[in-house]
Amino acid sequence: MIESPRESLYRVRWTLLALGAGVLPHVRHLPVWVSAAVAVTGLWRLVIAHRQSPLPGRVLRLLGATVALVAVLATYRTVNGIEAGSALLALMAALKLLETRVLRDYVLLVLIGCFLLLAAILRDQSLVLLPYYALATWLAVAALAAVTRTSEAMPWRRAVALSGRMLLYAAPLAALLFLLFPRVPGPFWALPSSPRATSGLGDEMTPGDISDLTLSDEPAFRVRFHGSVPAPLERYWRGPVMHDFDGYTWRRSRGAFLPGQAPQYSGPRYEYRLMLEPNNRTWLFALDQPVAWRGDEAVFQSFDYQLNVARPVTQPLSYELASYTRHTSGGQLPLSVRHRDTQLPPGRNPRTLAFAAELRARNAGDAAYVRAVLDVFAREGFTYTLTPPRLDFDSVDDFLFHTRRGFCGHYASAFTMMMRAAGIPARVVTGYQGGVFNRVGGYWYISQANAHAWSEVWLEGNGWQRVDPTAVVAPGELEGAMDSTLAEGAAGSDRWLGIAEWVRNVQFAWDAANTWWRDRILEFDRLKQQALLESLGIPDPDWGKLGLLLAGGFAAFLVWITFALRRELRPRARDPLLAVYDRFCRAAARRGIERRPDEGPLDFAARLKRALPDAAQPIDTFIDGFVRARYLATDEPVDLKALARLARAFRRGRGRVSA
Amino acid sequence: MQSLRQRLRESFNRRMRRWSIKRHGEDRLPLTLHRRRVYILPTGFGVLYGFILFGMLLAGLNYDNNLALALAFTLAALGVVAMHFCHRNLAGLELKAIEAEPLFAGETGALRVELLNSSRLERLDIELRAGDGAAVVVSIPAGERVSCRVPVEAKRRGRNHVARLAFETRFPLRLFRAWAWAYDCAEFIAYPKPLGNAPPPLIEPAQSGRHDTPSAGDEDFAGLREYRRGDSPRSVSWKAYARTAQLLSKEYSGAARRWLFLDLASAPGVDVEARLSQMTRWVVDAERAADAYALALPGVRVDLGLGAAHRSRCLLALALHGEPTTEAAPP
Repeated sequence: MIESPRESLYRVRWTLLALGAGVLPHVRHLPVWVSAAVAVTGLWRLVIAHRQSPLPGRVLRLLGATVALVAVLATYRTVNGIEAGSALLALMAALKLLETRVLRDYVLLVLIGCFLLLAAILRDQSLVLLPYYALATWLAVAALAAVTRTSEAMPWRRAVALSGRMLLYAAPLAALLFLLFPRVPGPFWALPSSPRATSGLGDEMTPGDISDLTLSDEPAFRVRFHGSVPAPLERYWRGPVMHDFDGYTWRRSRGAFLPGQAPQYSGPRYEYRLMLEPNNRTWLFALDQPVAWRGDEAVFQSFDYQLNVARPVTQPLSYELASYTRHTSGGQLPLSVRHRDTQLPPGRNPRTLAFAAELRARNAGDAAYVRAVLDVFAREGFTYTLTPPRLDFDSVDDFLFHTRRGFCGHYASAFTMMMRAAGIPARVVTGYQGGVFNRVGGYWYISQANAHAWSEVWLEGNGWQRVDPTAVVAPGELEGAMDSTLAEGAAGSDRWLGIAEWVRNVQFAWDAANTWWRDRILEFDRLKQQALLESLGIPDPDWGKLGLLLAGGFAAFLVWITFALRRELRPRARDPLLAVYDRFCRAAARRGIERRPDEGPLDFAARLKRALPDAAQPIDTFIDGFVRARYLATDEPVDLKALARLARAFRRGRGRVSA
Repeated sequence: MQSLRQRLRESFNRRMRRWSIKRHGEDRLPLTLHRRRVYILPTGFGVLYGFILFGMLLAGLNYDNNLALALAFTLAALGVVAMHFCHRNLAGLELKAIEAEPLFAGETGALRVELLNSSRLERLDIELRAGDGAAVVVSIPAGERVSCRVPVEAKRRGRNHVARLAFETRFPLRLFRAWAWAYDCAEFIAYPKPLGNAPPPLIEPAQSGRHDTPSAGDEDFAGLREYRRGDSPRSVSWKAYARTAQLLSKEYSGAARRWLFLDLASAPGVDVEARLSQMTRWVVDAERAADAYALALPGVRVDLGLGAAHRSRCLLALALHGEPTTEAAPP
């Protein structure tokens, strides 16, 4: 069945809309040539439909498909994965547009549009895009409704209204499925690894390389405390720990399985939920020091109290944590750890080594030595800045004796090296410090601007203790970036100042909405599903119970929609008087006499009386009452109930009725 | 093999018919397509849609992406909703009347099927099909009655029985196909196919001036007579009806060129059907040539006459020759 030109134009328009809605969110990821090729092909198809010119021949289409495949392969080196896959799908859909002849082709293209939408969602499921996704889905359904019409074209308003109504009816079942469908943990097939941008802290630290630390307000994670909140100066969020120093760069110890020590904790226990943004790294953050954790992913702690996961965090990840901020460790540091954390590269930073030896000679006790080094930072004219000069090959020498300008990384690096030079085990800990409280959402917002580095030293009898040399240089920097004006050129830290209160509230509200979206919707997982069911009074929900609930809910939905739709099938509400008359006519039909469509009440009554002479009187009474009420211009009120009674009596009566 | 398939199909149809009658009773007009007799199954596209949704579900679970799952679930729920929309698009439709226009055997004509949609919803894209004929698509606005022409093919002369009238819809989204069957509620009459080229027998020149001139043409008004079924509404004297409440038809006397006396016995050949076809050819030709003609079949005589009503009377007699005559001839 070849379609008519008008049909074709109509279908092409709707299909292009649905397909376009699927391709659009990919445009910012796709190479320009793909987007351009898709757009040009779509326009071409539209022109063909307008002019009713013939579609391009098979040779041209095959050529196009080959070129597209080769070009995608050349660009991505694969056709696998979301990026290459969606590029190829978009191109092939555009080519398919050039051979649409029958209904099936259009329908297929609309489905491809849906699939492209899915690919876009897999790539980005942020709240900003939610309205777009919702509208695009609606549009796709409207397009499906429109292109599948056969008798005549459907006005676009009707298509949009119909699909909207259908989606509204579908919403309860979709919500039910979303809440109750069993969540299967883990991937079934290996996710195609794509080079994703990492963000946040890295696994090495090279202060000397950085001449301009731009602080971004991007979120690192958010924290909701369940009880008490630690003091600002205790809000150190522990991240990757650096052990290996080559004189210029600090690095994590890869593959180091060293013995750890369990310290004694004191002070309040802080319980909180940490909602981590995807950063494509394998480590998590926690308030220093975490003692308990629970999450969907398997979390393990390394010997240096750092929390790790097996695969990179590419989706938002939340976990429950408990931490103590105070701890001591009375035992001995295992030799392997002591050895690693006192290592220094031979022959590097000689002036620092000499200076440390000199200082150490004057301060015998470890604690005294620590204080002496901090004193140096406090007194010798060190400045905190986000735009430090670059450092020489022997970076610590250059920093301590020459530039004396730097940010947390410089101080942590120099301080840790000074400790190791004196034989005190020390390491650099990176992470975040501080955070902004979001009044609207009731959680702490820790952004990349809160990134920090500090030092950890082993003091006999106390165990690992945190020492933050930056705090000595720029104490204000740590008491919440909000109030800090100390750092010169700290463009990032005073971004909260000078902003009107309401703007800040809007920002808070938007971030709170995002957090809610992420926490409740995107991260609705097995645990939350269980918690939800338990809160509904279903203890210990397993797959069997889920299945039963799902089946029960589905049955309830079917009953509901059946009756809801059947209600719409009923005839338009009629004049109550006519309804009574209808009832009378139905009763007559049941007794074998059906009113002909062209028969008036008097004629009908006459015929009825001839057929049912026994019931002549009730028939007359009813028809007389009906005709009076309907046709006589009187002011007397219509006694509907009496008429209805008569009709009922006639139905039951079989002639034995007395009106 | 073709015949085996056909036989299986026919046997299936017979069984379906028997089952339908057992379940819903004999179908009598007017007939409401009650929801319990509307059946529904996914279309091929519906199955494809299901597979694609399954793919979406797997992708959502694999990438641990709740929004993708939400999309898959929404589309799945939409499928269920579409099923209900499709079913109710047909359920409750009323089949009010079926009228057949006579046609010649071997021709394709149409049944005029009158449908009533008494609901508040517009019913869209409903396909009607008589037997294995071609389909016609109609949409019926809310509360309206529409009449549509469903193509039928006259396979044989005489009464043609439409074994099954199929109603089908794939609206909306084409994911599902809902259908209902009405059995044995339509038939139509096919005149014999006009064939043969034998000269008509017994021709007399028209005799004018006789009192009982039996010729009846369309030329001059001759008087009124009682309405007979089959008379054209145009020939009804509506003025007289308004006066007397009696249906009267106007009669015209015309000048026929010749008189033809057509008798089955005079048609050449052995085969009855061939002879009936020849008679039909004569009737059609005589009418076209404005010759008055009379018809004689075993048991049936039609007096000399001319005009559309006369022609249909004769053709009907030819069509029903040899058929059981227990039923009244349809209008």
